[in-house]
Amino acid sequence: MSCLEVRDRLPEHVLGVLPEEETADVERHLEWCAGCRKELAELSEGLATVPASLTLVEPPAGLEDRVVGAISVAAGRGPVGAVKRRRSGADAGRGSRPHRGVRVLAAATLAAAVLAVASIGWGVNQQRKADDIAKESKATITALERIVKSLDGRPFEAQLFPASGVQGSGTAVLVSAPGRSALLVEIVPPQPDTHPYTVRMVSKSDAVVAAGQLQPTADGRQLVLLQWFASNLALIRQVSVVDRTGRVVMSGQVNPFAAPSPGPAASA
Amino acid sequence: MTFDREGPLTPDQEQQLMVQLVEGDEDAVRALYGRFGRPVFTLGLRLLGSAEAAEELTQDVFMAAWRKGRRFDPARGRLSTWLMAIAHNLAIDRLRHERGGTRPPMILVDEIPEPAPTEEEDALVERETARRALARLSPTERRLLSLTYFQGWTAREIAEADGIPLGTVKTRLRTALIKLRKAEAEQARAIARSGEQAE
Repeated sequence: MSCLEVRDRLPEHVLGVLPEEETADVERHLEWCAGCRKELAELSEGLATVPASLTLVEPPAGLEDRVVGAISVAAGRGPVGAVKRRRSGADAGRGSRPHRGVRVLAAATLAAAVLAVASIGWGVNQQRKADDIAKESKATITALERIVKSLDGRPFEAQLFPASGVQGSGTAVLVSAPGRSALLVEIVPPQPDTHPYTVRMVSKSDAVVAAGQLQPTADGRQLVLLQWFASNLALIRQVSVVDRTGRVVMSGQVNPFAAPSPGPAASA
Repeated sequence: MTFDREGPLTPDQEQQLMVQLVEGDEDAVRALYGRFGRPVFTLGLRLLGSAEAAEELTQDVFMAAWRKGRRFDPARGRLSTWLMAIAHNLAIDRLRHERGGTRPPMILVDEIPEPAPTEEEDALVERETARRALARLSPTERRLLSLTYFQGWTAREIAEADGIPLGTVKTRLRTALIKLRKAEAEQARAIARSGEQAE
């Protein structure tokens, strides 16, 4: 695509309405053409005026913690206490004492995942992967804690077991609150690898709900999905992971999380 | 490095903020959210029409920023422009998906009810500057920007609906964007001059 052709399309590109089939060509051109990149930057600066003209609206309280939690889970770190907190606005003054029940829930589900992976016996590499997950679980628990606390909802869990001919395992944690629910799915990448993997939920009335696609964590050792729903997840009975062909590679039944009790899992 | 939740950042600081975001640094996530959480949520509310959808969009935008953070290049533009472009693209994708590829209704942005404002003095100057820049556009240019930016219409769809050549729509869109950039730059210079005089 020539500079002339690209510049003809840049206004639409900046506005996000350029047809998909043309977008790839424009982006390839922009990779090497400084002149067209300059034009793009100028148009983008002009466009920035439009959202800047809107009267700002305050997001709901707790959204900041959910964003922080989601990125912490995906990045594989949850440094509560290690990093100085700056809270403001609606988030200021909220309690920060860990919710023991949530900690036990998260620890239990993650520990179960590690045990399940270890018990499958699929080689030294996978065992190492399981060990690594165990080490990282504390950070994940902290991040998960924050998410669950922000919802103040009822927790459920599902242990995900592999289908026949598949190696892998995972866990799902559902937290259901009125008008706001969350699903966290964390799996060890299945073998053989048939990614991408998506998560489906099946309700008690057998309705199937697509929850989204699992994404690799920063270190690539796990696949995670954190999804939010406006509906109540208390009626979900099963969580499944589906590969690119539509085949279920792992699934598990959803159970209410029992009252927390101290045990080995709590110290994971 | 730690970051404040407001105030200007140099290009180097913006780059460092994104480096720390990609690492999952909580301080960086909170700094980014503190700066852009409200603009992103506001845009989602205006484009998608519900607080729930805007909330989901906000989470998606910050996750996308974390995933794409390594691609951010301050030499190509400001962090705010980059992040709001992500927000806009995700929202338009969602609008298209929800509407099943059908053409969205032709509603002008002026017809969308203004949400209840929050008391935020710091943003008033920037908003007023932006509104003055938009006021310099002709009604036709404002309508075109409204249809593309807020409704996701393509240039071809507008050309067909209005019965005008596609090239004319593209030229008008480009003219409108360049006008906005110039108007913003002039306003910024005027503010800088008045600040110097006050000193």
